[in-house]
Amino acid sequence: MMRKKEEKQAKKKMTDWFEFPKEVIMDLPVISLIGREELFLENYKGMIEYNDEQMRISTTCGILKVVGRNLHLKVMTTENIIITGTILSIEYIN
Amino acid sequence: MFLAMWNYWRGYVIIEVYGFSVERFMNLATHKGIYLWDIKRKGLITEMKVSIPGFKLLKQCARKTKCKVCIIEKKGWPFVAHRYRKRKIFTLGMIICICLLYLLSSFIWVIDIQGNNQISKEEILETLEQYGVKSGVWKRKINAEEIGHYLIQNIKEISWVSAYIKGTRLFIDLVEVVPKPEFIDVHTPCHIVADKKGIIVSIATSAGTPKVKAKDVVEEGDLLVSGELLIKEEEEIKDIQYVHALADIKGKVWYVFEVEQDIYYINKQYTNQIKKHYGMTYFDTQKMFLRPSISFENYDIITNKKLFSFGQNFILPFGWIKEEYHEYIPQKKQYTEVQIKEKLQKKLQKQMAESFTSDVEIIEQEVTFEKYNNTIKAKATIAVVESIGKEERITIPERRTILDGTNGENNSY
Repeated sequence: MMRKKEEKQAKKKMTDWFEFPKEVIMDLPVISLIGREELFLENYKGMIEYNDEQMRISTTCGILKVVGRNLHLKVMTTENIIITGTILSIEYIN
Repeated sequence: MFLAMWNYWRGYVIIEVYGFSVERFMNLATHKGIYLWDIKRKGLITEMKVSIPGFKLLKQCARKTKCKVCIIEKKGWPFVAHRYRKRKIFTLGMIICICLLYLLSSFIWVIDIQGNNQISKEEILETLEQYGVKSGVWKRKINAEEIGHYLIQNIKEISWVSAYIKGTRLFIDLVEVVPKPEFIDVHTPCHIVADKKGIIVSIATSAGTPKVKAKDVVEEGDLLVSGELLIKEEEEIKDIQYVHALADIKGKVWYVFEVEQDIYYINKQYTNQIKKHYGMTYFDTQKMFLRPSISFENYDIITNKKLFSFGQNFILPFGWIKEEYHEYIPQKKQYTEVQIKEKLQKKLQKQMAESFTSDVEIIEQEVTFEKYNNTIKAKATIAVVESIGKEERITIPERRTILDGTNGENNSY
């Protein structure tokens, strides 16, 4: 466990130093928001909860909670998710 | 848009999923590489779209997660094709239709001519027909560039042509030659003769022998300045030399213009009663469907023809015709005297503008009005001062030398 944490730290330092894109090296999720109607999430792990008012998606850095109205998934592939609807809040919960 | 078209081409199914954990089902499906889209939650049921190969893999996921999957709708081309797989004639018809469309689009159906003012459209079309280009000719058979060359060669009034094919249309853009007045080279000997009847106002000769003087009355064709130079020696004509006569001759010329105007006119009071009539047109024939009974006594017909086309340039030789019969009540009305005079004046001005060039000076103008049964005639007598000479080539008797009017070279023999 400790070792994994150390490895993570080292990776973070390296990416900071070389200015590598973090999402590639550290496998972090990338979120792009278009206004408040479309959310593009790259690099996710899995869907935990899904309905038209709240979505919980597990990522490598915790669970991402998206709250909104009339939410639905436009696209779902192994790498990315596109959520459309009216987004009210985005939150990480651990 | 493109994605939707692609999906339609590949085919997809809209499915309903319900069960304990739809999320697990979705995760599993995506991990297997199944592409899911438009996922909507409707209470307990989740609706989503999935491709046809994806759907086959979904059964496993459903069994694992204990979810139930059922198809709501099958969409896309593969299903349509599957449904009609046994209808051979239908397929054949479709293929024939596509072939026919392709075939028809490889002909020229419409010829668009632009830029002609003096040359009539019919003349150009006729020339094209002589070359073998008309509505219905095969596109491959003709070469647009050669058409342009042919037109330039065969119609003299054209100075520049661009012919090009766009879709089923042949465009011909042309520029006309500005008509050039007949011009005699300054080295060619010539006379100046009167081109109209009038009184000479002034004559200033710079080359040639003047034959008239101011205040002379001349008829059309009278010799004004001769290009013959008589070389005399003690009243004896020794030689005749020919020059290019040059003179500025102004004459007073009378013109008479007559215009007419009806006193009464018919005002069309439209009643807004319109009857429509539809028909079809193909190639050059027109077939109208049931003709409506028209009880109107007076009507205008507005014909609207619309050919089928793909975009702007792929026009096919079929189309619809719409005829509209607009009823009107004719009302006989009368112009006031002022209105009539105004109209007549306008007509006169138009005629004068057409017949006079800009360097004409109007010196007298007299307009009389005469009333006939239902019309009023205006007669305008106009006196103008304008140049009245025109050049005329001299036919030189044989064995005569020519004196060049400009450089004065003398070749006597």
